[in-house]
Amino acid sequence: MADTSQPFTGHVKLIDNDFLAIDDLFSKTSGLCVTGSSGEWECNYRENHSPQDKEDYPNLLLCTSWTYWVSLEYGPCPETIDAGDSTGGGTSIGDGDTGGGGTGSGGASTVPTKPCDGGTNNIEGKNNIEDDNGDCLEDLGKRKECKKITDFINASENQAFKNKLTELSGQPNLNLDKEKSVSSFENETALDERIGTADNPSVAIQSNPTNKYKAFVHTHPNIGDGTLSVFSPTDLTEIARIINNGKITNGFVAFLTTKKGTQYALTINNPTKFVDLFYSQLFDNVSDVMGDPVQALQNKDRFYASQEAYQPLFKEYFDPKNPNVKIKNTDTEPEDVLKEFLNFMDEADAGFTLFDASSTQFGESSFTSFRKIRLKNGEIERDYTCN
Amino acid sequence: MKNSIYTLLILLLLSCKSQQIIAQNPNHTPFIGTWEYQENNQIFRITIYEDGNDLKGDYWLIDINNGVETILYESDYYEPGTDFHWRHAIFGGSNDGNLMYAQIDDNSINYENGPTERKFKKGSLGFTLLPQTCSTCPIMAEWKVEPLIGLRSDTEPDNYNIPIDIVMIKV
Repeated sequence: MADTSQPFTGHVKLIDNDFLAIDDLFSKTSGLCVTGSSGEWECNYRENHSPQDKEDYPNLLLCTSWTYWVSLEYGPCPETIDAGDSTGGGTSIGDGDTGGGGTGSGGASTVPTKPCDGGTNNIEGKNNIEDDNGDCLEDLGKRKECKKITDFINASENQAFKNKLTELSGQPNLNLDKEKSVSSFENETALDERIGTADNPSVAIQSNPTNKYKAFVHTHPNIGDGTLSVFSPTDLTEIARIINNGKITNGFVAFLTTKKGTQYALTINNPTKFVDLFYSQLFDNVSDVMGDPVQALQNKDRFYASQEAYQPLFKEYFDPKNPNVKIKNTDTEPEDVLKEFLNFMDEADAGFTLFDASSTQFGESSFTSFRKIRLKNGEIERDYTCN
Repeated sequence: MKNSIYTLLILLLLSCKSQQIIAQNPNHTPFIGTWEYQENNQIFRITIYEDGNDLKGDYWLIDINNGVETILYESDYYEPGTDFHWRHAIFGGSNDGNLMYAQIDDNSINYENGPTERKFKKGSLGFTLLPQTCSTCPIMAEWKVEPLIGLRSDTEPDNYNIPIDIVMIKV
């Protein structure tokens, strides 16, 4: 724009940022709906007024840029919209609210909030934005994902599943030569426990169960010449398949415990992005890809885009027969593997968040504390604990 | 007349030379081309080609009857009546010119019942050149497919349809 003394007039495109997805804004994945909105222009020159106020505020002529702030009000969805029926994503925005979709605990969040500190408490490049309560807005995304885990872990109805987290992390299970899994579903008290076979040590989980997954845990035990200390590409593919079938709750958490002594939790912050990456791996045949004729063209493009995105990543990070592969099951240094996995996450930009549940290094029991993990300046950074 | 013979010889030499495809990545060169494995009257055929920094490939199962080839299945098959097809089913590379590694899509499971009934199982392919025992001996490579370790769907087939442990000959 040549004339920056005037605000822009026209349409703007919303772009996802690191702490708030567009889907969340419009409740495609949150438990609440937008019930109202307002907005105002803000000039970068001292007084914050709209361009119509120029006569009263001549200093507005000195403005060189304008920002239009949009405030959205959230409230319960109308009965015609089932906010809890979408495929994963966020729970609540802001403090104290519970998201829809069946994490089941209700009540206020226990996730700590902090003011922006301009450093490790913030997402890089987006420092020093605080909400009305003085909490760092950049923490919203982290807290939202944290809350999925704390809501699930803190719910008394999930005690049996929590016991399984401990049980599967014990040596008797991790010394097995086949994987185990335990799954928890919405509106079901019974847990679904499964184990791999002698012919195929990989555990087969339900990809299209009757009720939605609240959470599952699976093991990477003592298989072959070493087990992978992080989620494998086929693990992620199966999660994508379940999401694509519409069978995860908004607060879904995937837990992993391994023979390498690592434990992780994974949440989905953008289901669309996540499925996009693995889309080409989800279908039996081209007819299944095409699906509904109305969606056929879009599905075809999505399939090819996924091939082009997924296959190079698999080759670089996971192909077990690539001698130079970056993530190896034979690597005995879980921190090195984690670092490469975080590199993969950055490169893939696939809409999921990883938490370290390996709290023994902080003197805590496994699966009792969860720290968001990310790369910062090329090194692993563990955020403050979620709970 | 003599010039014509020389020209023909040169053309023949050039023609033979063109069978040796030079890849951008020299480690890819030995794998590029067509490979076959024959059992009775059926041939499992693959083609490997270079695309940028990667090696890609397709495969077919072919029935031969009195020299006439009939395709039983192909990996790059089309949705009937559309231009939508699977594209490559093999994607990988080679770092040393001896081992080609790749993810392979077995999308041929249950092919007998038509394209809409096919099932899919992915795997890890290792394609390793075997020592050439004489200068005129065929170039051979060991083809091995293994399942990927990790969660799998309860609807995933237990077994592959494509061969998983064979020796192929470059043709």
